[in-house]
Amino acid sequence: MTARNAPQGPAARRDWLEALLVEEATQGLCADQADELDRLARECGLSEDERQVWQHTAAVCELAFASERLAGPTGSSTTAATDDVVAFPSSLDLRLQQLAASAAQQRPVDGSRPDDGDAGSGGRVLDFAPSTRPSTDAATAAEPSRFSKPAEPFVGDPASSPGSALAWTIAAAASLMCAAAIWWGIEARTAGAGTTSTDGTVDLASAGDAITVELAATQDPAAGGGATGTVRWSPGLQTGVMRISGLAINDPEVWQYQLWIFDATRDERYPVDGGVFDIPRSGIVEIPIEAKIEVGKPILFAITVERPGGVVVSDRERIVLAAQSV
Amino acid sequence: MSEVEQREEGQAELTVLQRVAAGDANAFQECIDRYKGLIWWLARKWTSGAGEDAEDVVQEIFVDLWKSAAKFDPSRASESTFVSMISRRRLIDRHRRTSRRPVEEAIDPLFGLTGLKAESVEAGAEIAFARRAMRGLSKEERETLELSVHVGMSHSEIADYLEMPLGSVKTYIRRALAKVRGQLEADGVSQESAP
Repeated sequence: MTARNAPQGPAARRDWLEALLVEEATQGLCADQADELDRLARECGLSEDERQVWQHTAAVCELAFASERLAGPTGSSTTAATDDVVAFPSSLDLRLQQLAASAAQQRPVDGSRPDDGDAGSGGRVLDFAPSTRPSTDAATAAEPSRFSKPAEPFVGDPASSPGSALAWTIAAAASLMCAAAIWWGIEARTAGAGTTSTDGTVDLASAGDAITVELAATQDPAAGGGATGTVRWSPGLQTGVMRISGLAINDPEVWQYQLWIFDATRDERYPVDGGVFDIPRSGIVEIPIEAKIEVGKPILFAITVERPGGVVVSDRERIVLAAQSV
Repeated sequence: MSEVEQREEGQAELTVLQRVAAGDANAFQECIDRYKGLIWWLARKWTSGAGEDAEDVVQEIFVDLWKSAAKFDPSRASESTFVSMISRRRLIDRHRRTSRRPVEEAIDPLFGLTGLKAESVEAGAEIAFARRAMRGLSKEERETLELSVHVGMSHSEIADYLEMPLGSVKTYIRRALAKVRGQLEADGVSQESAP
C-alpha cells in the first residue's frame, strides 16, 4: 500500500500505521514507507514506546526461536551449545579488542544511534570520541531508531590503518597539521593548495562564521587532472557544503567518494568521517556535508575513493581532492 | 543481610550496558565478551554468512551498542533483547541497502547456533514468556513468523517459499507478533517480573 491509496479514516489509518510498524520491525522500510510511517505516527500521536514495541517483540521472538533451537527437541537443556566454541574469527576478535580499548578511554554520549544519515554510509563504523555532554534525550530513551541524534565520533582502529603508526610517531613531535598530512601522505600535494577565503561562493545560510577552502586535485585518475571545488563549513552550525566539478562520475555500486575532516581538537590519527557521496553527472555538483560528529576546528579536508558505503578507516590509496583550512 | 537490603543491593547493581553508559572502562569489553556470540550469529544470518561483511557489521553493531547504552532501560527489556533490537535494526538497514538475501543456510534450523551461547539468549523472563506465547500460534502464524524474524526472509520471499499470497503472509506475521506482544504485556514482562 502506498501513500496514494492510504486509508483515510482514523481506524484505517491506525491499522495501516500498525502494518507499517510490523514491516519496520520485520523487514525494514523503504524511504517512502518510512516517511509515511513518520507522518502517520505524528497524526496518530504514537509515542516512542509504542513505536518501538513491535521491534521489541520481533527481537524477543528471534531470541525465543534461537532459544528453542538451543534447547533441542526435548527443550530440557540449553547447555549443549554453551561450550560449543564457534570459529569466531580471530581477526574480528582483534578488531573488537581494539574497539574495547578505544572505548575504555571514552564515554558514550546520550545513547544516540547512527540515524538515517548513517544509513547512507554503508558499512562504515562511525568514529566516536569522548564527550561530557549529559544524557538529555529522555524522550527517545531506549529508542534505537532513526530519530536519534547523530552520534559522537568513535576513534577507529589504529592498527588497521596502514601508516597510522608512523603518523602516531610523527605526531608526537610534529604539528597537528603535519601529522595529519603525513598520515594521509599528501603533504606534498596539498602544500599551498588550500587557501582560506572569506568570500566563498557557497551559500550557507546563517553561517556568519563559515570558512571556505579550495580543494586541490591530486593525480588520481578520478580527479581528471583538473577537478576543482570548494568546501564551505560553519563551525557554529556544524554543517557545510561542497561544490565540486571535474570529478569522475562514479557508479555507486562500484565505488563512492568519501569526505574526511581533520579536526585540530581531536586525535589527528582519526579524521572525522564527513560522509559518502556520489558524483552523478558532470558540471558543478553540490554536496551537503553531514559530519556525524562535532568538528571543533577543521584543518584539512580530503576526499578519497572508497568502496560502496565507505569505510571506517581509509587506506588512503586514492585521494582525489584535498584542502587545508589553516 | 535482610531481604530489603538484598533487594536494594540488587537494584544498585548495574547491567553491563548501564556500566558502559556510566563510563566504566572495563564494561565495554565485558559487553563484547557477553554478546559477541549472539551478534555474530545474527550477523551471519543477515549477511553472506561469514567474511568481511559479517565482521564489519558486528563491529558496527558494537559501536551502535556503545552509543546506545544509555538508552537501555532494564525495566522495559532484557539486555539481550535490547542487544538484539539494536542488532536487528542495523542488520535490516544494511540488508535493505545491499539487497542481499540472507544466506540460504539460514533455513537450516541449526545454522549458526554453534556460536551462540545459551546464556546470551536465555537471559530475561521475556524469552520464556515469548516461547510460551509462540506455542499458542497457529501453524501458519508460527511458520511465517519464524521465517521472518528468525530466518530473516522478506515477506515476499516467504510468500514464494510457502506459495502463499503476500497479503496472507503479512497478515499471519502481524497477527503472530500481536499475539506474542499481547502475551508479553499480559505477563508484564520486565526485569521486575522475572521469575
